[in-house]
Formats: sequence, C-alpha cells, structure tokens
Amino acid sequence: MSDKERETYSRIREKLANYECEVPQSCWDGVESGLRRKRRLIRHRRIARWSAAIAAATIFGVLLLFNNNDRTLPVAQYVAENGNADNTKTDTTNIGFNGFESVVAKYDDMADNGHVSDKLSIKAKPEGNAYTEGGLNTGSASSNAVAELKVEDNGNKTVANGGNMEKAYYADNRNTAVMNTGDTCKAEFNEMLKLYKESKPDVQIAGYERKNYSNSAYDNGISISLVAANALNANGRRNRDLSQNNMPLHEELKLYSNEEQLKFKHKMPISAGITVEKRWKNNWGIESGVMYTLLRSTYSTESNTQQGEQELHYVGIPVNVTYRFAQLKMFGFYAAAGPKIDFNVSGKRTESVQNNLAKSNASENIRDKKPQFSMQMKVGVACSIVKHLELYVEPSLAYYIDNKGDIPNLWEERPLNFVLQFGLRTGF
Amino acid sequence: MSEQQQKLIDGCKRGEPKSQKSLYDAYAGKMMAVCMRYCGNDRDTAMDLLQDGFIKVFTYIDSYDGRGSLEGWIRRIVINVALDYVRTSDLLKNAESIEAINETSVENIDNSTIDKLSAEELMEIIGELPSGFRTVFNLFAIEGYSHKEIAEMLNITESTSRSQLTRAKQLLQKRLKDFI
Repeated sequence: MSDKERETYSRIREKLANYECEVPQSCWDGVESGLRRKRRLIRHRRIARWSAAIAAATIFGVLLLFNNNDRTLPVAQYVAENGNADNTKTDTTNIGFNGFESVVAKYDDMADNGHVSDKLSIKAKPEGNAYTEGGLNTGSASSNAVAELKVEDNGNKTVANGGNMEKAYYADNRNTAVMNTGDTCKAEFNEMLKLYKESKPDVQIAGYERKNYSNSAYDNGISISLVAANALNANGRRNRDLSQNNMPLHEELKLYSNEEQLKFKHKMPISAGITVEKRWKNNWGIESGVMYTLLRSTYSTESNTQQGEQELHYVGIPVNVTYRFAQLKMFGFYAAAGPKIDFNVSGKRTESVQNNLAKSNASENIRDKKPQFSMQMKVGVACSIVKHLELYVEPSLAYYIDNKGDIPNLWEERPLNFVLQFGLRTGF
Repeated sequence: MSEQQQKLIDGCKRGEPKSQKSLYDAYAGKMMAVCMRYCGNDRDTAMDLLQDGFIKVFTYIDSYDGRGSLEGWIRRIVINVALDYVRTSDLLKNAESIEAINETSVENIDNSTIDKLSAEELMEIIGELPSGFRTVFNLFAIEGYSHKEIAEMLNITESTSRSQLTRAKQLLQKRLKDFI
C-alpha cells in the first residue's frame, strides 16, 4: 500500500470515527425482548436438561427394582463354581444323610418302574411355625427342621419325601432353602450335596435360589476408597460485604482512600481423600475417612483499588451410614448419609492495592478456628472392574451449617452444594 | 477504563436493565452507522443488525475482560453480525478474482475530495458500492483488516479480496468526481 493510499484511508476513518446515525426507540424495544427470549430459552434448556436427567435416573431405578439379580443355579453348578473347599468339612458324621438315602432309594424304584424323573428338588421347611433367630429375609428353620426331599416325576408330583437335617437352614416362605452369603450352614449343605452328587452323577439337582450380591469388593468386609470430588454448582454469586479492616493492607488503604466494602467471588471447591468402610452381610455399612478440600475466592472493592485472592485448606472427617439396595450384573447401587466435620488447617490471602498515589502488595496467613459441620446425602453406583476393585461415582448433596466464622467462604454463602464424587474402591 | 464505565460493565454483567440501557444509549448511534455501512444504507436491515449485535453484546458481556476498549469490543461484535448477514445473504456470490488488474494502474482516490465531503455524503457514496466491494472496502480501508484476514472472514481468496478492493477504489474515485 502506498503512502498516499494509506493517507486516504486514514482520512476516511477520521471522518467516520465519531459519526452516528439516528436510532429509533423501537430498536431498544427489540433488544429488550430479544434478551427476555434468551433468558427464557436458557431457563427452559436448564429445566429440560434436569428433567431429562431425573427421568433417566427414575427409569433406570425402576428397571433396577424389577430386575433383581437373583441368580438361580443348579446346585451342582453352584457347588462347582463356589466349592468353598477351605470351608468344607471332611467329617461327614454330622451331616444328615439319612433322608437323602431314603429318597434316592425311592428314585431308583421309580426309574426301574418306568417313571422318569429328571429333577430332585431339595427343600427344607420349618417345623410347625417355629423360627429361630437369624436368617436374612424371612427367618430360619429350627435346628429340628425336617428337610423335605422331593422326587418329582415328569408330572411334577411329589412321590417321596423325608429325612432330617441336623443343621439349621434359612428358608423363605415357600419353604425353599435359600443359600445366602454368609449362610453359616452353607458349607455343610454344599458338602452334603457334593457328596450326594458324587454318588449319583446322573441326577440333576436344581431348584435353588441364591441371593448374592456378587460384587466381591462389596462383600461383607472392609473397603478402602480413593476419592476425588468437585462441587458442581458452587460458584458463589452472592457477594458478602466485608470491611477492609480485616485485610492485610488496610493500614495503607486508610492513608490513600476512603473505606470501601469488599465483594467476594467464590470458585468451585475441589476435594480429595481416602475413606474406609466396614460392611455387613445385610447390605448395611458404615464409612469414614479423611478428606481434603480447597476453597478459593477472589475479592475486590467496587473501585478496584484493592484486589485479592484467598485460599482456605480444610481437612474433613465424614461419617456415613451406607446401604446397598441393588445389584445389576457388575453394577452395584447404594445410598449413604451422614455428618461431616471440616477443620480449616491453614489459609492465605494475597492482595494488591493500587491507586493514583501508591501501589502495594501483601499477603497474610489466615485461619478459621471454628469447625465446619455439614450433612451429606448421596447415592452411588459402583462398577466392578476386576475382582476386589471397583470404580464408583457418587452424586451427592451437602448442606453446610453456618459456623459464624469470620472468613467469607463458599460454604457460608451457599450452604447447599451439589457435589460429584468419584473414586476407586478395593475390598477384603 | 473510567470508573463510570467499569460500573456500567459490572451492572451489565449482573443483568441490570438500567445499565444495559445506558450502555446501549452510549454506543447505539455509532454502531448504527457501522451497520448502515455494511448493509448499504438500508435502515431496516441496519436496525435488525443493530438489535442482534446488542443482544450478543449483553449475552457475552461476561467475556469482556477489560483489555482493549469497550467500544472496540462492541464494534467487533457488531461487525461479525453484519458479516454473518453478508455471508448468509450470499451477497458475495458474484465476487470474482480478476488477476489481470494491475493495481498500480488504478488511480488513487483524491484526498482533497475526501476533505470536501461531509460524513453523511461519504456514507452515502460508500453505501452505493455493490455489496461485495463495499464489504471488502469497509473491512480493509475502515476497520484495518489485511487481505488475508478478510479472505478468511468472508471465505474468499486473497486475490479476490484484492480485486474487490481495487474495483471499490475505482468506483469510489468515479463517484467522488461526479459528486464534486
């Protein structure tokens, strides 16, 4: 471009630099209504997203409830898969074999006489209505229960029964033996069936239901988790006014400017930690651990003469009661709730002050000595990656109780937080 | 940035209608002139572009970080809205690359003629240019973009941008002579 051309364009720009055209009032009306439409659209989209998420979660939950993970296995297969060799008793004298033998004899007669039966169901029923203590769902058979061994022909008619079991078994209201995880008689029963199966390899034993939340990382025992968490809606928009007197450079500010209120803006907190959980066979558990949380904020005066950043470091101890309510293949679902206490172990403010006369920087250590109490409630889904290891995600709600502290922070200004936690859990 | 302007921006970021109206009143006239330049002095189209431009300004005001002037930031948004209009209206469909034009043979616009014109007259003359020439002329001569940048913005080649500018200069020179 030549100098002359450059000069030409410069003159054109100068001439038009401050040129304005008349704008009718209707134009602003159009801008206003456009902004209203945008706000409505944003609100509708937010509602639609939440509605879709809630609907998906509800449908998924309903499907889960109707899809319990009861695996029904032929007992012979169950024994083959879960032999419990270490629990197997070699002493068979306490195992009530008498009943089996009489039923087996009857079965042989039926086969000789042309009745074909391909099913031997073994059922245990309580004696009368007596139930001992224990049992998972419906009670247990008494130690004097009669084990009713049925041989059914292809018409499904009971043709023989009898036998005594010397050990107690859990039974549901259909008088079917249910072998639950932790069943104290499982070992004996398995051994008995194993021995019976070995003696009668051609007989298929079927009809047992086994309720077992099969994720080994969540079996009766202890689990350890590594947790990371982020509060998702946590940008504090309500700004708390704070006097400058609390700030590092307040003495200097007094010299150069009039006192102003400070406006705080809070950033998303980040947490990480480790938890330990003790579980019981009835799907309940209790969890605790140590969590670290970082709260960050920025603050400034309205005139921007003073600007600063604040960091608060917390160590917290959660205590949660957990309950596992569903298992779907390798996914386990649970809920938990409980209190948490956080301690502000350290903090720092760094700020700068600038006006026409001076510029200064300073920092100071701060700490809120009052503990921070909160209530946490969460649901979780865990995916078993390999045996004894699972990955989990826990959306949760946390409500922070005002501790009347002096240091503005997100928990004080927005007590209700939606938090997403995820982690790895191992069990033993 | 002045304190008053900062207050205005903060108010707009909070969504305060009063601050939004004040900001609009401060810059609407100049931005209307920008829109008129790009749509050929068509007032109705310019008003639509102005409305869309300010809706975007208030929607994305949070992204303004104070670096650079506020007027420049608003102007860029309004120009982008105008260019969207130019692109979607396919006003550049007749743009051609004329490699044969020797730019040095094109007579330069007489600067003394420019000085004799008022701003309104200059706007009228620019508005009379065909849309393709006018758009490239606005972007190069007034907004200060390079041919490479213009080519990317308008999805044309650099040589097309150059030839459009050359044609615009030719027509402007002719029109200026007739005007005076």
